[in-house]
Amino acid sequence: MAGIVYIVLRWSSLAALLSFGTALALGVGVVTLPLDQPVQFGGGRQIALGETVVFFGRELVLEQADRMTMAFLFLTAAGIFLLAWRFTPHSLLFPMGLGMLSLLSGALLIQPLIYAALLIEIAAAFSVFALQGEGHAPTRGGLRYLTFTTMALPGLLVTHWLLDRYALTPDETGLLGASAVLLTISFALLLGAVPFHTWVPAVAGEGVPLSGVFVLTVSNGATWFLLLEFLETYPWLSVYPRFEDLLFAVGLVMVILGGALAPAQRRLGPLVGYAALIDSGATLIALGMNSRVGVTLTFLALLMRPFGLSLMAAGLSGLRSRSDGDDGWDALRGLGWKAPWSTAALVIGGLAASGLPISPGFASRWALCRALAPSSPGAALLLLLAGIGVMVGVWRGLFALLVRPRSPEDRSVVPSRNPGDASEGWLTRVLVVLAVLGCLGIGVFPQTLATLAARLAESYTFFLP
Amino acid sequence: MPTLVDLLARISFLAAMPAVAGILVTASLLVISREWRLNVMSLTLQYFFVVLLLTRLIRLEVAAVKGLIGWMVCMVLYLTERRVDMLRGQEASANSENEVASRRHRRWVMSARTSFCLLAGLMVSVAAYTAALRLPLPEVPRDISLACFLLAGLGLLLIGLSESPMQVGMGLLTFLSGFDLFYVALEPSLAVAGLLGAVSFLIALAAAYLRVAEVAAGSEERTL
Amino acid sequence: MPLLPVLIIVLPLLGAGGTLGLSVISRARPYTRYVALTAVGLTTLLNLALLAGWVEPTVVIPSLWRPSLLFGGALALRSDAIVQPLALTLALVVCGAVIVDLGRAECARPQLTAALLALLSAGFVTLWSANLLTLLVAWTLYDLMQAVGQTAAGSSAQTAIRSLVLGSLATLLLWGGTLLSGGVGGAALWSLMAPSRAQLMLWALAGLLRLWMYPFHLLAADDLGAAPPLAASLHLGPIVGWGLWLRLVSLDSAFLPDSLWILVVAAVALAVGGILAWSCQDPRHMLRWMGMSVTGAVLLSAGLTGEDATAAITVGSVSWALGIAILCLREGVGDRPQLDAVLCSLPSVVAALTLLGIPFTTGFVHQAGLLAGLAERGEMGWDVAFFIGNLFLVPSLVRWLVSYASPSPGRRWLLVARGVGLGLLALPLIAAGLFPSLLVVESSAPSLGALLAMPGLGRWLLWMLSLVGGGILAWQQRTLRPRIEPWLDAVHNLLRLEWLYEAVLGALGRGLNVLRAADELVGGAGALLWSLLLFLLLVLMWGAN
Repeated sequence: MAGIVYIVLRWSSLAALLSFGTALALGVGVVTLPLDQPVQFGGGRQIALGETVVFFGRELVLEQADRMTMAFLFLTAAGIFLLAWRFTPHSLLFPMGLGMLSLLSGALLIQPLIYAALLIEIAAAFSVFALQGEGHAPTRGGLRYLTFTTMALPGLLVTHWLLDRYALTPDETGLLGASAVLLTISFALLLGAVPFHTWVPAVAGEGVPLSGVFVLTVSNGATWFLLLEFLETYPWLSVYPRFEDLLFAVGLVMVILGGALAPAQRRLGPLVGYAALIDSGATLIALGMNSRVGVTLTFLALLMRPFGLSLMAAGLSGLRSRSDGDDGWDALRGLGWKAPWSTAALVIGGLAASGLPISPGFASRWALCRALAPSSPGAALLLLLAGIGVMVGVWRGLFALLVRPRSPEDRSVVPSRNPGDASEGWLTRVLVVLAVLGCLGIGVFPQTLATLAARLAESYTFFLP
Repeated sequence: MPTLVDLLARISFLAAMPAVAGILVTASLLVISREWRLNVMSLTLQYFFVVLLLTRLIRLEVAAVKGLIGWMVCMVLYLTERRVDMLRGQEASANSENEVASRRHRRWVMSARTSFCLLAGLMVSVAAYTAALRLPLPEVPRDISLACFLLAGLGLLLIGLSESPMQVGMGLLTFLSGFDLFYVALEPSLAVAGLLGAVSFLIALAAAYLRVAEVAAGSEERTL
Repeated sequence: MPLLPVLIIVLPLLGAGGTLGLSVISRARPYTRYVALTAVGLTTLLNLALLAGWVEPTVVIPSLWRPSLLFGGALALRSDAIVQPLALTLALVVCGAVIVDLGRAECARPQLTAALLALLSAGFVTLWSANLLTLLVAWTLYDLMQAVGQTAAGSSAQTAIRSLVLGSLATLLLWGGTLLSGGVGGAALWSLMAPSRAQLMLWALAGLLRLWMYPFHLLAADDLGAAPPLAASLHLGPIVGWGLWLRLVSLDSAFLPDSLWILVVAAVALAVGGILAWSCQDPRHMLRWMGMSVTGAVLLSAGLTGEDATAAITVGSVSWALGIAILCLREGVGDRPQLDAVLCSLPSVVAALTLLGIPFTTGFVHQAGLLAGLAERGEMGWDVAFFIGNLFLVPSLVRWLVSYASPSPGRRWLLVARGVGLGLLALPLIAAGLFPSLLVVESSAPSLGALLAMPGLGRWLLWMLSLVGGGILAWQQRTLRPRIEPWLDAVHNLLRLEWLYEAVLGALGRGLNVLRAADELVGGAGALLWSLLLFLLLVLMWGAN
């Protein structure tokens, strides 16, 4: 389907809707279709979802636990495609996104896990094309993401060999230590842990915003699921000395760094990246709790993340399209009056990304702070402050956006709309309203996703009892 | 007509420290030079030396395929840069004589950047040598271990010193070559080899795409 | 009827939707006001039913946050009797403003009307939040609606953003206080909470921010002076703060009297508010300072009263809200008063008297408590603050009344509409002044006679002196003001603390610039090398440990 979408890319609406439809159908199908019973498709062909598929000698297996994670990837991608239809209609996100989806879902299904790393690397290479905007100078985001992913590859591949060797010679416990170190470094690179975090703001700030969010939610989400699968497959990792301390410390540093740098930004793009960095840090802190509640909170954070970031990116795209691609404060002055819906999307998305009420991000942050407060009240407080940091960045942007031209009587007036200014279109408005309502709806009714997160967590047992 | 096996047998004496030395020289050239022709040539030679070393670890045919992939990658980069050069040449100003004169003058003066890159390359090479001595890689001979560290270190240095898509792409390819040289000894699977080859190709494609975008954006700015 | 609170919240939203929907059709635009009036009128009546106790307050759970192991509870609303007077006040203010706006025959402002109706709903949710979790959500909702309303009313981006930022800070303080209990109790009902002193302190700080108290007065919009009178409810942001204060004093009645720092803040607000109001050059900007002074008086009264803090806050906040709202409607006496203007300005005069706490008005309830508390404490500091506050509040109110006089309407029914709207706000001030038990349902509500007897002779004299002094200032201010204008401006600018906030922001900005420079260095061209270097340093540090 990615190939077909690439061919019809010149008809942007067709390409977008094809991508959206494909991702949506796959997301719904993976959840609703039975695993063990064959389903008839067109042409008389019968496929059972749960049957093992052999791909170049390697097995692809869809298990019960994988269904929800796959559905998350597909449905998140569908949402991003839908927003991209109106905000970045002519980008390579559609074909490349579909390609990345297939690679990432393959990475989660393939056995053994070694091939997952290679598929993620190939998906990262695809993301370079999606992140590069048409007619713009090359952005550093894509290359940087590719660089860090490439650097993570050796660790993951060598770990597999080390663990195979350990299976043959169990008395060589040094192999486990080496594996743990390599895995830690590799996942630190993939997840953007400090000091390997520089790709995160670059991806969000220097590329096509929605493509950046695709990387930060779908690709990053797949990485998180892969990490959890590693921990489940090799439970000795989670009982390794200092496992909890390391995750907690790294997560906290990410939160502090993101919270400190977010209000210092002079552009909206990197702000999205730092919001994602803080969220990743919070998720690491949750995982570092090494308990069922912690795993549930991890899944909750992953499920809630796309709402805020997607809305922010959509708003950012809408504003950039009216400021010649510049999202600095000076370029955004007064733009809020010309693009109110993009501004609204940015603000609501920022609210969600920062974890302030009334947003999906608040529900996960509230739960996490509540779980942290008895043991680490300082960490909970830092999480709150980091969220405020992101919001300060959004408020600064909003201040620039809402500047009005002054009349001679020294009364601020709403600038009159020039005929040349293109309005946002009724479809865009409808989409923004739906997205905002969806975001706020999940914020008020988080139980829809929280119960799902709890169910996902039930299939993982690696944590301490 | 000599077969591939015969050809390689004739130059098998190179598949040891001479190849490592060749890798050191080519990778260092990549770090120091900004002349694209020299860089592509260096990368091509680098792949040649890597293939030579690979023949000691895996089957000849597989090593040859890896080499082919590498040279195809170099071809992609060459064609891209050539096209870019042609586009740039068309936009060159009429007053080109002074430019030629100043360029000639610049060729014989080592810039600060070049000096820094040379120094950094030397330091990384020393670090790689020390690492090869202190932390030899499992399942591979010591000289190949050194080659791996050199490729990885100089590849990372190349990535870190530049933001140009081509330089970063070459740096990634260099890094990946170093890892590939080590990993084939651990996992000789063809599927992994194929996937790593695909990764290399995609990296080259991405670098070329971004390079073209760089030129296109630059020419748009000039017309504006 | 558990759904009554939900209906009260939904009605204004329906009105807002209807207003916006009708405004799309140009012919129907003038009728948007009637849709708004219908919605807010019904809301007011239903609120009255709640206050009268015709419906028992029950807990309404709009959203059950599960699993409870993660969230600790649910979003819950409860129309408690303790906050019901504030809810009714909010509804009355919006209703009265809409009616007065009808009576002004100016063009309809559907966007502003819709924003204010949505703000009203948000206000109800805030006041009826049954636990801290719901209050956090409600405060953010209120802040957003407030910003939208301010923007629709013509306020600058700076004002809207500033109130959003400080509102977020208040929300953060509230949330932080919740965490102090180890995360437990955030979703417990107010009546089941047992907060620690540290938690109460943080929540009190949040409450002070919400009350727009000095020196956190930046939350108050300073450029709504030119906003239409319809936007009266935008000046009533502190009402959500009063809702929190009612909860706090009901949790621990000894908390407020024992917290000297809160009383000091209140006294400073009382005094400085009066000075700022009188020294303000533009009469349009006086209202926020007058409001701040009265807020300080109410909070000080509650603190000095002790056990009757709940009654003092309830009646004081209602009198503050209705008084400020009436003044916002700008039905003053004007420069050259005529008979019909004087009649129309009667509600404004009642409002001014209420804010001064004159007997037979609602304001006297908290004023009597304040005077009694001053007598009990016997400390000169409180007396001085009270005297200064009242001394400058009187001429400020007079100046306000004289500055505004709305033109006589051409048609009689418009005059009637204006009268109804103003009367709707002014009558409760007199009714509850005569019968305080109308607002305070507890048995501790004092009668008018008891209130008159509460202040001792000394404090009566002090008050009289301040009123007389203020009266003299009001009488002479036309001749006095031009002579001391430069001094007044200097004092005003000094006390406003804008210079301090700008200095703090500048210092923060410079600090952030350093961070950004470091970020651009580490995340710039050599990002990979910097990352590797930092990683190496971390490894070395970890190894050393």
